[in-house]
Amino acid sequence: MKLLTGQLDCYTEFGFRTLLRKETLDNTGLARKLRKAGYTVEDAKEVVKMDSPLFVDLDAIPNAEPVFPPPPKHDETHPDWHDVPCKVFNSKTFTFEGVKQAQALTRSVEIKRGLPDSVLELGNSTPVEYQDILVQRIIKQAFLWDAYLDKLPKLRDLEIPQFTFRRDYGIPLNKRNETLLKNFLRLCESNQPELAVARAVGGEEELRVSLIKHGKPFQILVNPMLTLLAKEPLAPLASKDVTASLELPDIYPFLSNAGVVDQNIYKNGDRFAIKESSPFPYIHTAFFSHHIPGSHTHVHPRWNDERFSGTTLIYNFATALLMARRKYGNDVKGILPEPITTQTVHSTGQDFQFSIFQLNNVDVEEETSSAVKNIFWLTPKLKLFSTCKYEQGKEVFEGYNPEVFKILMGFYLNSSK
Amino acid sequence: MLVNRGLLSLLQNDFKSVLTLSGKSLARTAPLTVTPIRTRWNDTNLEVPKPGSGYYRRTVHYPEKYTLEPIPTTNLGGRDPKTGRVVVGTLGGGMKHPFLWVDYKRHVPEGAPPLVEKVLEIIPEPNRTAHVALVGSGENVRYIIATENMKPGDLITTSSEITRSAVRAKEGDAYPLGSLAPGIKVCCVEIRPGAGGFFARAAGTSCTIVRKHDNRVVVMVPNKHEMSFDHRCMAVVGRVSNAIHSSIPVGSANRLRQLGNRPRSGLWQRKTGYHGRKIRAIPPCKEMSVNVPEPPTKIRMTLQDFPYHKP
Repeated sequence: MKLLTGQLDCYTEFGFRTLLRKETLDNTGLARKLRKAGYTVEDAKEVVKMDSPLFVDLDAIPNAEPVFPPPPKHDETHPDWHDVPCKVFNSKTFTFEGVKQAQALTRSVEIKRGLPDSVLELGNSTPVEYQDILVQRIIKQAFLWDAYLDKLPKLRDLEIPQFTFRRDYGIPLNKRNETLLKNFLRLCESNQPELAVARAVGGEEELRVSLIKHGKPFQILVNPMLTLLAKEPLAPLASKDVTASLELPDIYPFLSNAGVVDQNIYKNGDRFAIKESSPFPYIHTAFFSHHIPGSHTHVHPRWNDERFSGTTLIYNFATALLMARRKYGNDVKGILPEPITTQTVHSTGQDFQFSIFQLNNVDVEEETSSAVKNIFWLTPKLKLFSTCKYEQGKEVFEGYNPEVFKILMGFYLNSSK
Repeated sequence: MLVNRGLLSLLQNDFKSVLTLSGKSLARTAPLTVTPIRTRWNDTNLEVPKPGSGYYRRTVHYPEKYTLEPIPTTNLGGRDPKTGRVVVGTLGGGMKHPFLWVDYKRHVPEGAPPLVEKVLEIIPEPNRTAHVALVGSGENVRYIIATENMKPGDLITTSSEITRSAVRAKEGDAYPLGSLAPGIKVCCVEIRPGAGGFFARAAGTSCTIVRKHDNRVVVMVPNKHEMSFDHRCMAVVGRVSNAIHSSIPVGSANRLRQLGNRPRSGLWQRKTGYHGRKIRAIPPCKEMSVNVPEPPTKIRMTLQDFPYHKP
């Protein structure tokens, strides 16, 4: 049977509306006839309205839908708009010249390759019973055994850009790193019940530190995934007099704030959610998770190992500066009475990088600052394992590196006393 | 009675345009803009551009501030964005790549010291034939067109000074045409001072400086024509990168579609004088004016001022 256009009308918007309009009662002309016969005819709606207790006037009910204020625009009407722009170093920014640029930005020098011996010895001193088995179990829990599945970010190969990879379901990178780091910390705590009482673990938050670099406002926004909090900051690991003779690297023709984008919308001052009155007011170690999809492979400009290390140093500097202001007040300037030390773990899940930063001098401006510089210790990117995945329904776990957890243990045991 | 509908619509449209006129005289300051109503049946007042009149692959939506992040684009598929009509029939489809904002302006203000920049990376960019270089100096980082032998770690300079004797130019440096010696190969040559590089931006192309005479420099552009530029026009020394691009075959019909080109007709056609070696002499040297040429004013003839039709 051939469908008529009238039958298809209800599927189009215009046809549907015309059909709605047509649905009216036929005027039979009964009212006119009744009036002629001498009866009074009234509207049925008025009768129902008066008598029926169930009658509800739908038009009289006020609109109960929630009304939300419109989000602020990214222009001069924004409440956080400033006429003077600020260079904001956020979690997606990196230093183009790597560690050298980060050194120039933080005015810090390296006195020894790798981590200090005292920290490395601490890591080997008190191993947990069945340490390597437990660590491998934690890795498998984070990478393989987690029941939560989500759509993973898009994959791309620059050599075959036309190829669309299969969009897999798996454990999200953010969640994967969180379970890994939290369980590592729990394993450290289990061996040291006395230290575990003296420490606290803070959740994910946004730290903000503002300073002045090259005569312009500069801000570092960092999001540590976990923070290990202590009652007192760490003791210094080296004397500050060593740094006076050492020189900063030359990054000509760049300035140290190269590539950091100017923003007019920003917030003034510092931000740290833990209050000063808290029993654990100081950051001992900050754990950062790098999970920007495609950052090392197909997004321009790309990250690499050198740029990754540069950001590790800047994150560590930001926490150290925040702790110095916590201890000596916001107006602290110049050389500190006692240096402040903080530790940082920067991880992509598979790769781990460790750094320690000793803040001797708060003033990082080239012209006004004295000869005393800050000190940092930095490891290269260390692989926790080489492969950890399912292959044809079977678990494949290869190339476990036990050194990573030992360094993490050393970081945990490192204390002021 | 039959009415010629096309004529009627023409008359109506004319009537509308007459109403929009402000003064009585024919000479107007601003050209009249007729916005054609794009319908399926209406092809009156449609000014469709001809092939070769513009760029119909994509429009790029440049933001106000320079960014390193990829910027949004719309693919046109050979269509004119105003009228929606096909202008170039061989474009359409293909992969959409992230578009990088390439800075064509290698400038320093007059009297300022030369700018030294460091090359950080050389990046192949699929939206264009040439490679792109990530360079920076001071606080700023930007993308420019890479020359043939540019490599990471190089220092390139940009100077605005017009020297008495020709400078010893290094590849990748940018100088005004007046301070470069004749015979040198250059790329990214400006049409007029401050306009940004225009000639020789594609892979492997270059211009050659032929001769100089009082504030003018004659340059042979990639299509072998000679053009005379102002001596302040900037040019980058060297040849554009990715010179082997022209010798790489497309490979397959499928690859042609990935690159955003539509299939050819397949009909064998006799070659004409357009192809091959040219027997005629090259045209005389064309002089590029310093001032921006004004677009010609459009005059629309109406019956408004016709004396016998006045009431």
